Amino acid sequence: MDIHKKLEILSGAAKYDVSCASSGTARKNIAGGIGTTVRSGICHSWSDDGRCISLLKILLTNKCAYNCAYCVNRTSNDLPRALFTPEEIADLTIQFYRRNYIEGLFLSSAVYRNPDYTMELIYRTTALLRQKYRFNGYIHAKAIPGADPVLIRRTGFLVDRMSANIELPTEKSLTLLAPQKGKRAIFKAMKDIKSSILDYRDGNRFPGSHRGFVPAGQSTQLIIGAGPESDRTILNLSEALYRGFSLKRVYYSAYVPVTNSDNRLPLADPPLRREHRLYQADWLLRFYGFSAGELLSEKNPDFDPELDPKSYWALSNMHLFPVEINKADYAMLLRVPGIGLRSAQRIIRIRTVRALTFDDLKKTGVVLKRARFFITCSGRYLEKGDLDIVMIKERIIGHHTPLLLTDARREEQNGGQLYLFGSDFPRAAEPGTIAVTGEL
Amino acid sequence: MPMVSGPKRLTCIYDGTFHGLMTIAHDVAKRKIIPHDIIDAEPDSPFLFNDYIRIATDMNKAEAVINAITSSLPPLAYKRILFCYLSEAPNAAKCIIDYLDMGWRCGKLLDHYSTHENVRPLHNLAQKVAREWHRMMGLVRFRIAPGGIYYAPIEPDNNILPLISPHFAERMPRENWIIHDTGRNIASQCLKGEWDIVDFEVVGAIEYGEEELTYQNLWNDYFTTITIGYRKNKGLQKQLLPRRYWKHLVERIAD
Repeated sequence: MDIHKKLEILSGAAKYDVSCASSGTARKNIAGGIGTTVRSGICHSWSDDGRCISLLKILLTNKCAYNCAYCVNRTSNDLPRALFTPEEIADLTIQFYRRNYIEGLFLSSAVYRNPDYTMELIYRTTALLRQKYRFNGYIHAKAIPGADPVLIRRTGFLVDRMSANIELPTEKSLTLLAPQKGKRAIFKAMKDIKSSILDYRDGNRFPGSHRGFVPAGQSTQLIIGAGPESDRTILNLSEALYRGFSLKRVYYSAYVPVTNSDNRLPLADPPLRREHRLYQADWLLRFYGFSAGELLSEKNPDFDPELDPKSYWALSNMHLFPVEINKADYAMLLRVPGIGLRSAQRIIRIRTVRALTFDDLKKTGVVLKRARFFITCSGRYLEKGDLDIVMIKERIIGHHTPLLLTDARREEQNGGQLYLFGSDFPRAAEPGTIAVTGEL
Repeated sequence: MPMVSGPKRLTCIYDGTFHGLMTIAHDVAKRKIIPHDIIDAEPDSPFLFNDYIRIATDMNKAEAVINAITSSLPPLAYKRILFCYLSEAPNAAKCIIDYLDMGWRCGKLLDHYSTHENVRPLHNLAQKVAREWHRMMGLVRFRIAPGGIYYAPIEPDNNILPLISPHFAERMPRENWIIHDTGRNIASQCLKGEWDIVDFEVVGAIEYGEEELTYQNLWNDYFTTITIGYRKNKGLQKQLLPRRYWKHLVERIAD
């Protein structure tokens, strides 16, 4: 099989892994080496779906021993299979990197033969790049759950980021849909990575470990909507992952039907809107000082698809508002809908030299369309009369078109029903071209 | 020199260099002049009611201003001023003079006045340059020309060559590369890890070898396959990667 064909098959199978970040670590070049890493990461292109391309994202192979119901690469699926050699991957990476097409490599794989065998191939590929080619750019590799911890640890000293995908938010779904994957093996891999990171930070170093152990941290990915889990279950899990495993990122991926013959799986359109709301909530957890328990409760286990999670939270906590822009502390400013990290920081800075007016707020990037209901500026409030929560909600939603309005989402709006488990819209997406995730 | 005042508007003409601009800043700070406008070439048709004054670059004055900026203004001020200068926007020089004028009064608190009319235009221009600088680090596409020279044409809005060059010099110290700003006819040339900006033009078309074309095709294939069909969103793509940057990419983006 020629390299063009292999690249087509194995990049096509890798594209459902959401992560493409090249951020989180800054490294100068090494003697005789090629490559640096930049803390902010660098996007090199944007594909037709609007996603950033930063890394060469490929599977080592899509020949899989597992048969996970939601995955396009499951053994029982009839599709072309391919396998890269470590040399081919190293050559492609270097050739692309030299031409500044990419920041580095994202290497994942199906479970080829068994976890150990696959992990060893990943290790050999990264070792080849780092040692023979003296490649010093970014590498993100998968940790294959169930593989020998020694292999995972050795790979960790070569790469910048590692990830083990959880895939399904509960053990129940995992047992039902991916019987060969165990929750315990996945968490074990994540725990091992975490303890090696801490170990390295504590100063347990040895020659050749100058890059550090997984310096850009670890991430994971969850599928949304393949099982019956609520947003609350998912967000609580994310919070536990950020706190317990010190993860850098949890990625969410809307489930897309890959088969219409498996009655374990729903047949609805991909819940893209729900995915978007979860990402917004994820940001609130990581940067805005929210906890999952504040955003969703047993009584309200799911976000309102029409409303961003921060506005959703603010409308249920109207007794805290309005806040005075010129007095409120930073933590409270961050909780105002329409005020982001940057604008909150600017407000703090500006008000040390003068009081802000609504005009200033516009210039600092505050979205007054949302913020106006929740703030006063030197005692002034922009709205007149009494507004109840329903009216505010209507004004916030307005006529604005949601971000990322794709055809799928337009259908989702027209169809009315979004992501019912066992929906009565048995409209399967075009078979063959659709999958959720090619990976572990 | 007497203070210039009265109905006539004063326009300063300088040589377009950064030090020339800093010389003007020096004279403004000493209250020798209050320019209404600053230009870097003789006007085609001088306005009758304008006074024109040529400011000769004075390195001592310029260095004094630069020292004052780095010592008494906020930490990011000098960087922002340089970035604003590299924007080559028609109002960039005036923005810098206004910003400094306010800076001598506010000192370290200058950047706190980010909504002030003397500060905001400069912040905005500097921000635009910073964004393009970052974006261009990703969008440069080297082609390996016969002889092993890495050649990349670009056409940025701002003069970001001096900003991106150190990045590539660090990243690929063993390669000899040229990043060519085709709009400004200048290029950053890197030989053995040392880079310099020179006047540059390419005569005729460059013929690329078979190997180079193979990798270009592989990249284009990859770019096409990586798209997730049901998430197709050309609007978002154009928002993140505006059309004016497509011309010099290797990947071919469909409309």
